[in-house]
Amino acid sequence: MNKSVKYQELNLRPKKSVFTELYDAIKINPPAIFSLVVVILYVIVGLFGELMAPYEFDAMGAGAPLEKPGLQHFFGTDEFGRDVFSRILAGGRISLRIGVLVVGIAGILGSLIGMISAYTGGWVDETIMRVTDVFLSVPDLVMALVIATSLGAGIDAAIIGITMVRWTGYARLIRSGVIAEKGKDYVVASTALGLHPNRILLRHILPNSYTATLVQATFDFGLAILFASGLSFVGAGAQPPVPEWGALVASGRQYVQAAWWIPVFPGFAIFGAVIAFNILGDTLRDFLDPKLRHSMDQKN
Amino acid sequence: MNIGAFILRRLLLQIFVLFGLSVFTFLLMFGLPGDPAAILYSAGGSLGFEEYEHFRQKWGLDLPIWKQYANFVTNLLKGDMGTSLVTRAPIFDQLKSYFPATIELSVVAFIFALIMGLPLGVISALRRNTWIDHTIRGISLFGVSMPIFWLAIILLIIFYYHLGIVPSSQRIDLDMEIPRHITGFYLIDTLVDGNWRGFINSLHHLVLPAFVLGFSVVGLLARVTRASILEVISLDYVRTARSKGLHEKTVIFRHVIRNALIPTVTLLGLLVGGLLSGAVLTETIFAWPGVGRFAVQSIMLLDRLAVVDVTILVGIVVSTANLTVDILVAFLDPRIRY
Repeated sequence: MNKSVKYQELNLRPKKSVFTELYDAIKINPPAIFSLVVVILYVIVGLFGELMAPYEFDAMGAGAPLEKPGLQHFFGTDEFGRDVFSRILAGGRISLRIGVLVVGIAGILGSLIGMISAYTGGWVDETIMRVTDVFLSVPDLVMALVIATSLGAGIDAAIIGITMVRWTGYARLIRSGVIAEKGKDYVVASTALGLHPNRILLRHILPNSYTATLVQATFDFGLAILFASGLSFVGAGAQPPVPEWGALVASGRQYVQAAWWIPVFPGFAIFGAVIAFNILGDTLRDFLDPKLRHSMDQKN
Repeated sequence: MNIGAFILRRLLLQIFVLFGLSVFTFLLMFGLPGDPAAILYSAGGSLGFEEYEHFRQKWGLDLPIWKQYANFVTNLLKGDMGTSLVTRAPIFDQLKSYFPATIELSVVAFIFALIMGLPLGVISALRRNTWIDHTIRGISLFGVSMPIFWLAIILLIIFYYHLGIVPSSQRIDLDMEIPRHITGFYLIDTLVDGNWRGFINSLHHLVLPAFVLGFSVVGLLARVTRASILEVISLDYVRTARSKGLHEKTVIFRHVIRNALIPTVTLLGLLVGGLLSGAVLTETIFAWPGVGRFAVQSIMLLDRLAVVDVTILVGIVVSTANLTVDILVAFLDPRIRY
């Protein structure tokens, strides 16, 4: 009690670890808890989905064809009698892989390019920015579609396609972040001290401008899942019989009159994962934005 | 900056970007290993061997890639977009017939999105942190996170298969006469001809696809409107307006909403992109004979020239929308103009 009064007098907050603060932020925000649970569940399904599945995901005749959802088959069976629930669980791994690879590669590559752009300036910067303009001149999905098919449709082609349209976001974010930091006193001081530019960039500037990127990455994880499912749906991504969620929706489309469950349940998986990453991204943004964080403390 | 110089600069930048886009897609389509004509020769056998050879020669497929590109640009500037590998009809003619369908769908979707999104955003901001706000934010989150093709399928299951109150595909019933071509927008063409049955029918066909497409951007619109109202509402001049005793309604409508809508206008450019990429999926599901479906078909059949043409067309539409928005904002917001 005494201690907290003292902190208040000094207008300081007790020093908490980032994790404690994050925990506090989530605690007062039920949607955030929901999203975190879903994301954790999603990762577990992604890693161990096939092991948890009641049937082999590609076992034909696990049940009768087009069997209704029930106790034997939670989400029913498809036209070959494959268990829809097991197929969705198996599809989790594909979706997780897409998210990790797209966000990882686009994030790292984009950030690197953005840093180079901001730090070198001049014609290098100009060229890089005009290249991002070109990529942004067509809607992401259309561009990803064109790239993916030109590489011969498939999951990996889809991943490359989505990565190639998403890196621009990171490049621009990091670039504006670095440019904003570059003029600040601590950077000028480090330069005056004779630190190597690389060291200043990596040790000083980057840690101060990564937060927006982290938020972007969270949103992009959901976006990657959504895009990949869209690409698979029109046939440019995963090809049947691969149990990617978008492909599952697509292949169930023709049986929709007799068996609504085949396309509907995989859609819930996409929807659930994407919405969870979106809420998590929102929470993270509110948390990392000091202005908003202050108001959150007051609410407490 | 002088507004003329501003527009000129943007225009030049736009031409440069479109040039870059054409180089990129052309390289992607023609620079990769593989024979653009072979798919037709081998797959369905729509080309005989001689035709195949003829095709290769006509498009100079044995020439170095930069010559092919120069060839392509020269033809394009002459107004020749080339011939589709698949339908063997001029691509320009096909795009001309598909384009109005996409515009009609997008415009109706857009109107729907505005009617839903703007009021939702305003109400959400004015009732900040109440259950109304939370519900509306929930709805917009749904809109942003939902796979649009999945939403379409669910609505089709309900309204087409079970209730049977909407058609599942096409722009007009197959047994109806296709409206006389005036603008290519069925809604307008039927009205001009006084063809009420045709008007009602095409509207009927539009409802579901336009709802699906519109819903995909409602969330975005509501979010931005909410944020921008919240930003304006706490400004000093709003407090001044209130403290001089103005009616709350006047404050909101005359002072807050008017200024808050400027950032929303900027969003319109983004919305055009969103609607176009949504159209790709929506048109595929509803068999809507538009540019989006044509794009998917060309891409899937590797109709390379058609892909390059469609991509450039989409690029022109999106960048023109952005340019228009920039000019519009410059007029709406004197701070940017001067």
